[in-house]
Amino acid sequence: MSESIAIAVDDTPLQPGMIRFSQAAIPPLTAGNYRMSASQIVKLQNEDTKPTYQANQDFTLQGPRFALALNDVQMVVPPANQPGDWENTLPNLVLRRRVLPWVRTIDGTTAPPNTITTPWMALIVLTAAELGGTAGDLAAKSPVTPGTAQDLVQTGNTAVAGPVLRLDAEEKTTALLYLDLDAVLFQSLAPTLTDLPYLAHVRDVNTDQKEILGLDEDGSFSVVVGNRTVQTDPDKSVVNYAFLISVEGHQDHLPGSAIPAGVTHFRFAALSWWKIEATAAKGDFIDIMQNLPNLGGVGLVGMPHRPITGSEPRDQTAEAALSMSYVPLTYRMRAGEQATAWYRGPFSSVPTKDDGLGAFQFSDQAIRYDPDTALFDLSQAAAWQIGRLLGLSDGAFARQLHDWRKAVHDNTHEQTNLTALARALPEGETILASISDRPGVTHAHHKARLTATLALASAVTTAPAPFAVAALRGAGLSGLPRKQRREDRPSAAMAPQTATDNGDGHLDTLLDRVFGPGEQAE
Amino acid sequence: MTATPNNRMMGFQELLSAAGAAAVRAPSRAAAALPGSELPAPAPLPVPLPASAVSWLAQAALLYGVPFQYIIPDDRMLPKESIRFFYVDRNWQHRLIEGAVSIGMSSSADTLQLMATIEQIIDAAIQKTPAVRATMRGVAEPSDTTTIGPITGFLLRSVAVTGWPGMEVSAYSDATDGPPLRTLRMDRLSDDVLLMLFDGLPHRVEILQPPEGLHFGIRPQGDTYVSSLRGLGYPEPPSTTYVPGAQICSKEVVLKMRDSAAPGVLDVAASAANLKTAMLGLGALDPSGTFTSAEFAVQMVRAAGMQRFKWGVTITPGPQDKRSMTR
Repeated sequence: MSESIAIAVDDTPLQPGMIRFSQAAIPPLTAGNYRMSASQIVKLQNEDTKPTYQANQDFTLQGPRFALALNDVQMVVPPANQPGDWENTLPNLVLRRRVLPWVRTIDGTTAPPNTITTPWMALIVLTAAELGGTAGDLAAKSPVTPGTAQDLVQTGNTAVAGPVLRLDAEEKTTALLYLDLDAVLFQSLAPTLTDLPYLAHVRDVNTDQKEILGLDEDGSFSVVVGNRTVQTDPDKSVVNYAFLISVEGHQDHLPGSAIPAGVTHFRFAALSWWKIEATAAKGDFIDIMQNLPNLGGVGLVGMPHRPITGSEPRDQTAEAALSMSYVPLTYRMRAGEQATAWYRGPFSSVPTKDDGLGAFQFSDQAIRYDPDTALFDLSQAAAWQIGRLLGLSDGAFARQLHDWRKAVHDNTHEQTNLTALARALPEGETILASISDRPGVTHAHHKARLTATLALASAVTTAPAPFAVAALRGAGLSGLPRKQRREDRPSAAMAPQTATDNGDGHLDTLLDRVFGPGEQAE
Repeated sequence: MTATPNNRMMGFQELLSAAGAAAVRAPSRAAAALPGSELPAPAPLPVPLPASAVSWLAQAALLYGVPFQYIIPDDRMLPKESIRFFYVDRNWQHRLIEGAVSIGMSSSADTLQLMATIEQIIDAAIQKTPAVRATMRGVAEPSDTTTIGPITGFLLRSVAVTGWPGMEVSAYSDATDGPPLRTLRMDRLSDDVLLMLFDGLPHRVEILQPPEGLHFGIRPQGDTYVSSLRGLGYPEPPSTTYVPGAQICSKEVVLKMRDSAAPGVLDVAASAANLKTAMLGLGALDPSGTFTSAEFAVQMVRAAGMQRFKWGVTITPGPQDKRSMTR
């Protein structure tokens, strides 16, 4: 396999699969205490004194310190509890917020803007044996202890040194998970102060082909890398633990510094941790994917079954149905009987085309029956019922649908009334001629209004009617939606039918729109 | 004239006979029906359906909210570590939409209205499907919303879904490197089940390890560990000596391990210095010799794994899959 990777350099668009690496993402300000000060100098005319006014505002910029939010961690590599051959792999942890490793300074100082500080978090790897106790057991208890920030800084034991932090009263009660590590062991495997800047960076990736991740999704992640490979043993599986710890306040405890006299353990805030099982099994992404055909298999959706050997019609029916992803399921009928029925979900192994069946009014209409095998097919009835339940479960949608339906009815009524009005009016020229100008009286404004009304009326009668009426006119059933036939619709045939030429009755108009006009009104 | 029971009865009889007349007329109209293929395009709805209702229906058409038991009715259809490709049944989608818009029907006028408008409603919903993912991601809706169809997809049930949550999936309609098919839906239905829906029939599906999670790896060589080098784009174009990301085959750099009690600890600073020296020697760094965590990461990450699936390459034909889709 080629070891090349797709890198986007600065100022080029990111294509799917490409990565842009950056050294760090600098927050506008690191977390800490700040003072905002404003001063105003007032210059007065004809006055020598220049009074100066000063205002100060102290504020604290908070950042994550002892724990991460639940969805801060996008992924960990190697995956948690995923057995695999992770030899020579440095674990890493991907964070969704790209500034996270740089929001604090390691020594609690306030960094000047636009400087890249040393990351305040480190990823360390220990084996279960190094961690001691029962860490290697399958049901090992959690290696971290719940506590508060107070427990972290004041361990209550002179042999256990916590980080040197300044905490305010509120912060001291923050809940966290802490981890006690042997000081010598920690110094043998933790990164040094000069290692840390190399162990965090930012990756930008294109998210077009990805699952939708979350709210602040911009495809920019920060990555914290461990400095120790996953420990393996050719003879047995080795349980490794990876801890993302806060090293804030621990800058003098990192490797290279002397361990303070009398201290045997260091105490760290554990931001995240997971277990890695290193075995001989192949567990990398590509190994898992390549193993699919040997395990669950690669194929089309369908119910697995033994080969059908018979050649009777029923065998052929069964084989055909199964090959089209139908599944035989138990059908409990309303009457209490039990039978087998075919069901196929929305996923089919064969392409489908429109069956042209339209708008069922209840789910039982969509049940299909094969008289040869006496089997029902409930697929579409189930789909219809789920659709209805989904619709009912969403009040906003149901409301909108109701309002829309009413609006369509109103529209139909309006068109019907206008048509009736237009038909009731006499021919325009006759009326206009009948209004004679008597001497001294002009009907100019009446005439103008009448002309406008007549224009409207003729527009209604001659313009293509809304809906499909125009397309239907004179074409019989040709414009029927989805090839519906009138005899399939008992409700339509039973509907009251009034004469069409007087133009009233919206039901009639609707019938016309659905099935084409009845007798053409001349 | 007063309305007597008799009068009312009379009125009903008139209505019934009128209805009978309609029923008699109906067959002759049916006989005049044209074949379905020559149906004229449906007229637009007299009152457009609200955009949010169309979006709701489009989501339903992409099976959002449909219980998994109704999608895969039997566990044996999707065993552990398997991938299953499929077409989405159009008629199933249509029935689903019909069911959704059937709520609250109270009269025969409502029924007729539904029959007159259902086709336009379904078309509107299907045409809105490409916008669903864009809206959910908060990006601009695609300008071109024409669907190619059919809607296809796959279900992947694997620990890879659990372990590599940001995996990238692209489907292509043919062997060439054209633009990928539009992804209509990509969702983890459970911890280890990934559902993909595409607009169009894929002939090649590529599943890529998420680049943000590529891990650092070191390679043992004898008693030491080494890393190969990758170009960073310097010297700058037009020079193509060291293309960004391309492996520099001529050179491998020894990584320094810390000499400590715990095995396998990398001396990061010293290793970075070794890498920097080697890159400087090749002239592959920028003029000021920048070598930060970003440059370090480019050298150290292992390449992404990509798995390809293609149509029609049958290696192990099961009894049920005639056109098995294999890698």
